[in-house]
Amino acid sequence: MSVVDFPAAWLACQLLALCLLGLGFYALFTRRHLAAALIGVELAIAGAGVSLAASGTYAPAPGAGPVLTGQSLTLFAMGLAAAEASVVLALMAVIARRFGSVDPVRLEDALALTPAPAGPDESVSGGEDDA
Amino acid sequence: MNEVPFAAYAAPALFALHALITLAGAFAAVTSLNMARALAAFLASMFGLAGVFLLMNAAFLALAQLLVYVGAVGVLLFFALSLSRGQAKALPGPKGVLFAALGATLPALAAAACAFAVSGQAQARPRDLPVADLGAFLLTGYALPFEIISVALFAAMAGAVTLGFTRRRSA
Repeated sequence: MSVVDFPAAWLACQLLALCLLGLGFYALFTRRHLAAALIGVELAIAGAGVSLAASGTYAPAPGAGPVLTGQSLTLFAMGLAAAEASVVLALMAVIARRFGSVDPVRLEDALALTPAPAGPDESVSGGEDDA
Repeated sequence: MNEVPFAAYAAPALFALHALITLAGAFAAVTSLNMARALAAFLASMFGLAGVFLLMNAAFLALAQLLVYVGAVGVLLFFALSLSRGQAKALPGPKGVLFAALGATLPALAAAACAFAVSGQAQARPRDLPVADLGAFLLTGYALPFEIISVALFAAMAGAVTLGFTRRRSA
């Protein structure tokens, strides 16, 4: 069985996780597309999972018996990532139904066409009341 | 596991290979303006991460990684892409990119400094953790977090379904 057991394995895993975190933050700061931002968040959460699993595997708490907290916490992180992705997808579906698209350019156009006066706004909120 | 002559080099080399796949995929996913390309790169990155978990002797985590990230999240992102034209807006100007890079690297650098500081305490010997132990642990010692995460999942799914239904009824 191939197993990473070189001396700096823990540090290497942590650095990999931190690179993923940095890339995820970068996507979150630079991208305006919801799907791109979602990819960034998923990358950051995946990095957190690697960090947790590596800590549970290579640096268990002293005297803690069979150490499974790292792997189970990674599983929790994965579950939360899936839940978060589903909620964001539902939000994108709502946005797409209301404004026609989730593309930032088209969204800006749609929002710029409806400035402060409440003409088109009312139709939107009226539709919301029916819901 | 030292019967293989190159075992001492094979482990770091394999880890470096998978880490390279992961980081290259993540970088392409973050920088690509074509959303379909970004999604494919993200999936490649998650495949590389599954390899890292396998090397870490966590086979169940690798399986869950493939199921959750490549399967579930990948399909969700494909659905999300179908709602858009697939073309993202251009990145912000050089100043915005610089600030974003600073904001992304500074926390990571701080955490990396902490990791370097405590790395001497890590032991380089992954243990064999049978999946049965993991299941028993989740249902005994970690029963409460396990239940809480299932409630969180249910809340997210119910919220997603609710969000999807309201608008359809009104339209």
